[in-house]
Amino acid sequence: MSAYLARRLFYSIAVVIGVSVAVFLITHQLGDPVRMMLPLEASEEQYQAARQQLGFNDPVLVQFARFSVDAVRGDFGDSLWMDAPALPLVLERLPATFLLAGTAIIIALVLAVPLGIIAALKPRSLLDHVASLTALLGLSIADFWLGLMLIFIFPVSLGLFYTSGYGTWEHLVLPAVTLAARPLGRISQIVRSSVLDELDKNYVTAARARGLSEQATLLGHALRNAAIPIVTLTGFELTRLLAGFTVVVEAVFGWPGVGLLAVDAIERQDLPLLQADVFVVAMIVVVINLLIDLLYGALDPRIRY
Amino acid sequence: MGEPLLRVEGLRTIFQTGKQVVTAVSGVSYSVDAGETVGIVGESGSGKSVSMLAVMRLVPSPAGRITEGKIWFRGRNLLELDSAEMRAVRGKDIAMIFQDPMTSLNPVLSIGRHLVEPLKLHLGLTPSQAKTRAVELLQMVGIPDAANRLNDYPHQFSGGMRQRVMIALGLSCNPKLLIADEPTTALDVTIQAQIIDLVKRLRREFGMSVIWITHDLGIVAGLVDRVIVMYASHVVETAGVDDLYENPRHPYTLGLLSAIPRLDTAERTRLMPIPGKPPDLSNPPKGCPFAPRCGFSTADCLSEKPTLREVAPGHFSMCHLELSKQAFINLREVRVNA
Amino acid sequence: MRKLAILFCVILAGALLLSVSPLMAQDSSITVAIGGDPTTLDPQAADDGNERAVNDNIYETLLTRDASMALQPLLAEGYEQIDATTWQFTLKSGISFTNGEPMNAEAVAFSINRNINPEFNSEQLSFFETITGASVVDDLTVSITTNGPDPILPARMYWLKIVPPVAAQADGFAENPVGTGPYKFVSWSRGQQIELEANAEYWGGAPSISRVVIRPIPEESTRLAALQAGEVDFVRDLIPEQIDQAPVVKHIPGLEFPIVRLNNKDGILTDVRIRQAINYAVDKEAIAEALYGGYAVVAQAQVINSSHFGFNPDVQAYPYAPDMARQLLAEAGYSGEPIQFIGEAGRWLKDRELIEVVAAMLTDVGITVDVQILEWSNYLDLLFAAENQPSMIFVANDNTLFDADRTFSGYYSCEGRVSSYCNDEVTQLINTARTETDSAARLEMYHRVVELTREDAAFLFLVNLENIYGLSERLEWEPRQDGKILFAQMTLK
Repeated sequence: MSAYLARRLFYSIAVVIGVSVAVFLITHQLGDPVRMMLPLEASEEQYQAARQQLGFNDPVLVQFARFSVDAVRGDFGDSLWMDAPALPLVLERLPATFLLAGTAIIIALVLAVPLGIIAALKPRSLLDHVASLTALLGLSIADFWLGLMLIFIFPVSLGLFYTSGYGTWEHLVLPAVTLAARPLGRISQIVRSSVLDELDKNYVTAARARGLSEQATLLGHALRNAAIPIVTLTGFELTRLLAGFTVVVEAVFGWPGVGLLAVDAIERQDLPLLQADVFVVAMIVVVINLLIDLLYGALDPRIRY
Repeated sequence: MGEPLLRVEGLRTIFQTGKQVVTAVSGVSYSVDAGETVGIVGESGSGKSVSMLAVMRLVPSPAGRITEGKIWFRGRNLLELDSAEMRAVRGKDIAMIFQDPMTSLNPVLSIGRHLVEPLKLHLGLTPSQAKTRAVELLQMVGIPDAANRLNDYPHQFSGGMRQRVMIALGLSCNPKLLIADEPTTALDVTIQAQIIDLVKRLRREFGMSVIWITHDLGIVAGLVDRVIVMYASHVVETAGVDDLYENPRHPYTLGLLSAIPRLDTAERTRLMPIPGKPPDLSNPPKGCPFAPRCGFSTADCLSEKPTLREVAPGHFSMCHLELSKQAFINLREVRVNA
Repeated sequence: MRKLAILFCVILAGALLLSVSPLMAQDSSITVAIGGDPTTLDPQAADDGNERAVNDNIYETLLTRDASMALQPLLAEGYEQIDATTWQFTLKSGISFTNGEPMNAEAVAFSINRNINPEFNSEQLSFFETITGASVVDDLTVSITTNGPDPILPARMYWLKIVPPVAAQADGFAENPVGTGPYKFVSWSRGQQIELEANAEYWGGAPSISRVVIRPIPEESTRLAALQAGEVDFVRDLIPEQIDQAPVVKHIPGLEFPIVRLNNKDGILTDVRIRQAINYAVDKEAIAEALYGGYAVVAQAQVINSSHFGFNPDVQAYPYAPDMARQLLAEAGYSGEPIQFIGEAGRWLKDRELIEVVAAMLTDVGITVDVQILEWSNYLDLLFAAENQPSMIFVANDNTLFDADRTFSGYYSCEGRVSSYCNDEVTQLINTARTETDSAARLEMYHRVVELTREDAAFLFLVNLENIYGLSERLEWEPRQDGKILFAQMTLK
């Protein structure tokens, strides 16, 4: 176990370093961040002065060395646009994104698991069709559109919850529900198919032959086995949200998360901010994947580290 | 002799997928007495397993369903029980063990958890009582170091050991009837013999009836009292085991017997596969289902389905013809020489 | 079932009642929605409209503009030009920053020198490029020197915010603004909100609204919804489609001019007749009406409006005359050679739609247009390209200095950084005007530039967009042409 953890930790560090290097190299191939910073009318002299001052006139290798040394110390430099160090800017926004993504995933799970199970218990029944349609709807609905519809229905027409902002649970409801739509769809599909798969297996027939009720068979036997693909997908959806796919919802609901920050950083080619963001996201993905791996071990005794 | 333990009457089970209807069991009747061991023999698709799943009311739905018949067990028609009553029968009065011990245990649950579950459910044991009983059961089926293996998971056991666990599970609530659905098929030959010996011993100890499903007549010879032969959803012959081996009356049974390699006879008989294929059960033939493959078939056989009739005391055969053993020997000669 | 239906109706009715009488705070505090979080709250670092929306209320400048955009003293008492390159500003006395630092000559000189210091690397540098330094004459007099005669210096002093020297040199100044203005900074939760409170000791008299919460809401529809739901009292940058739904709408011609730059240096557009044909071929009024819902006015063949110094009121837009366009094309011998038209999408209001409409109108008169919508950084590469400039490229200009020089020297001059137009006479006029201190003579030159460039069809002139604001029923405010949102000018009913 500890050997496994040590190995995983080593790989994780390698991944984070690799991703950081890749981001450095890729971002230096894209456009010119200095030009984006200055007003269109800025003169050539101002442009050159800014480049010089920000160190973009140094050879790429020198820039890379500087980047590496600082990054090891957790220093990604100051954001080019925002007058502040990059890493704290990202970390400051992280709790809001965690809260939003976490709530969305919990909503999705709480709804998707029963929905998927209902569909799996009576395949091709009316209930199954309704559940499958709900899943498909959640999956294919544009979060932008859904968010605006919810804003129109609740705060604007009914005076419930808020259109935007951050602070209380009432601010959280609509963005979290909007964000839950896609994971809800995907998770309920995988719940349906994996429960259906498991219910077809011999050990389920054997359990029934021992007189177990449908409920005990489902909850005590089939669901435990179906949990692994469900956990995998849920983890994937969570990392996806934390990696910045909350951006549309953040924009619609004015949610102060890391997604908007990341997209701004990309649009403005704010390299330090972008590098800090990618670093943080890579760390999160690595940690969540590790947790999921450990969870597998708890769920499936055949997996040993 | 009083009422048999299990009496199946006119059982009919179909599978429907879309417009296609497959009759897996068509009007089958048989009975099993208390303490009796019965072998049900047939090739795959003959309906032997489905008829047993029907007894347990575990025919996979919604595709499969029982359309006709009665299943009398200790004076009650199982088909009329509600689902709670039926659950009380399963595992307690009738236990079933399955062909593949690799997949019949839940891979994510410990052996102990498997064993404790029915004990608590059917016998109302407390967790600690159930655990003690579970250890006894494992010892009884010959699992060494049973107490320490309760927390192990199925993948930590070999195939034979897993089938022993399945048997322990099946016997945990002292069932009146054990249905064993090809329990040795997936195991190698030495392990097969051990499992058969185990069942023989436990049958005596528990005083239960056993239905042993197999496609291999050779296995049941030393194990069962009576044999039911199924072919294409029908029971085609049933008789005491010695009677059946000595004096088979149905051409299909003969075919099965010929297919068994015999090491104990001096006579060098050749292994005789039965030519042809079983009929398509979604579109069964009008007459005798075996007629297209039968060396004795007549015009009658093709047009009219025979009924299961008593051809000798306690010996039933579903055949129009009165065939003697000599006729079979003659036929075999013809084939061998041909 | 009937009971259920009645219950449902009651709930619905209740909800409707709630929605028509949104709960409003009773004190004199308001919430304002802007399009994004400021990148910084240092008033001298960034060129950022969101930053300005906040700091315009905290900081002040030496000069201001009245409702008609004429320059008026604010922190300055007055100013005079001492010689060609020296200006002297006298300051009002008795004004201090909210942290107690005095607003005096030292503070002003510090602010100017800080903003132009190359080390500080301000994005605003292009507004102050002529200034070489500032020095204290006496406690209330500052002298500002320029690198040559600079008639626009007073206009520049409407841009440069005065900061307190001690606070500005302390750590965290960019998150803790301190000014002399009518509002004091209270707090900033990045991405969430900025809170201001009235400066009770404001030298111009405390403002009527005591507290202002500024919230970034990036999505236009959500901004409108927040206004409809009564969560905010004021939103900026509404889009024309939303106007019917806002409780109160205010609009005013803004500073933004979408244009299409035409390349007269090389390629097919070197022929003035084709450039003119392009201008005749586009129906500007239809664009203002259909695309911007009437919230845009036709640009009078110049990229500035009447609020800018240099605007020529006698010059008219090219009329929509497709036949004239076809005739000019025929005279020029144009026979369908493809003309490259570069655009981008999403940076400016309705940019993509505008590009498509223009392309369709050009196609109508027989011009083969090769439209390419590029990703922003690729677009910028072409916009700034010195060689192989595109024949046509869409861009939008907004001149917040209110002096033609900023637009003309960038876009109209051969030497402009974003120019693909070269006309020696025009360039000469722009360069001379830049140092002409007689403002009548300077105005004359700009009028001439506008006449020449209209005749020469230097750009495809299009429209001047309006700024649209949404207000709650209880808020009173009139918009300004310079787009500044001054909370001190707002009152509650």
